[in-house]
Amino acid sequence: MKLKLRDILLMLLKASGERISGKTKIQKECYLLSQKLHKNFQFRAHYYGPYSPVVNDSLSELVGIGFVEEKKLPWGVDNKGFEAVRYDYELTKEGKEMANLLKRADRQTYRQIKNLVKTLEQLNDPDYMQLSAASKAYFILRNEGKKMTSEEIKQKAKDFNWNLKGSDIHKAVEILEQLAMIRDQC
Amino acid sequence: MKQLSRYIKAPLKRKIFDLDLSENRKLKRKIETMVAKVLKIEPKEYVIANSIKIKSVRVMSRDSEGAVAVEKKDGRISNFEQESTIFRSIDESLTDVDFEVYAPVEYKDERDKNQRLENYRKEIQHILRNLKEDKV
Repeated sequence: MKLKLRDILLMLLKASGERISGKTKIQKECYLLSQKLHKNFQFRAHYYGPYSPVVNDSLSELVGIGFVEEKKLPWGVDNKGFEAVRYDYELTKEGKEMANLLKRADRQTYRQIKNLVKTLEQLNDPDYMQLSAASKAYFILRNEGKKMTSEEIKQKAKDFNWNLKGSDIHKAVEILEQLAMIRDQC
Repeated sequence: MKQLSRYIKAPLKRKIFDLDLSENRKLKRKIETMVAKVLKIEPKEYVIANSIKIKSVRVMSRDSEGAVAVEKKDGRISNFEQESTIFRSIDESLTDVDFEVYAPVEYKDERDKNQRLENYRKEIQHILRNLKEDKV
């Protein structure tokens, strides 16, 4: 069976305890997952790091079909003064049924997804900012295709209007190392 | 599409959502043939079953224009989508997904049309309920 991006999102939600808080977190987990699964989900450089409109659309479609419920939560005010909203996603009863079927249909992919989620949990479940930094760092490393120092990553990040601090990169490296996505690259 | 949950299981719903894909052509033909038979439409090729996906206007406008900053009376900055009464009322997460069937039918007046549409809806729901496409 050929898995669609929507199927992978359902499996990711299932592996994450049937709910994920925040669109940015889903986007970054999906980016890291796309790299682990060698899938092209059309990620491109965006303000908060790699972003895929296709992931966003697929998520909306899952809500439209009724497999996922989206909850909107007030999330204070961001650093530009904008009132922010956080979107949480949760599998519905039907979504759980579908995710279970997908898990049984492709156990190998589900295991890879579960491993990623488990590794993140072991790292004290990094928040969306830490995942964003890890995704940005990996995006740069992939783009450059060579070993880079923290300082080089920091400098390169400026090309994408990303502000990565030394502490961000330190945490990013820890996440990427645990996910076995880098080896002595920084 | 959400209402279909009352009649069909999740795997079939997943297939109906992607009815336009070649991998689901067989299912699409099956539904169209069954609808043509029940509604007595000849030739059966006149019946078209499809799934329509419509993104929220908020998402569509944001994709093309981006957020427009507005200054509120208290000096705080917000965005146009939040401040506009019309835009705010539209849930951006709403991607409407509809399962639709098109077929040439004749009716006498509006009342007859509505009655027929209601009957056709029930017939189509019955057809979907009896489809055995539980496999992923």
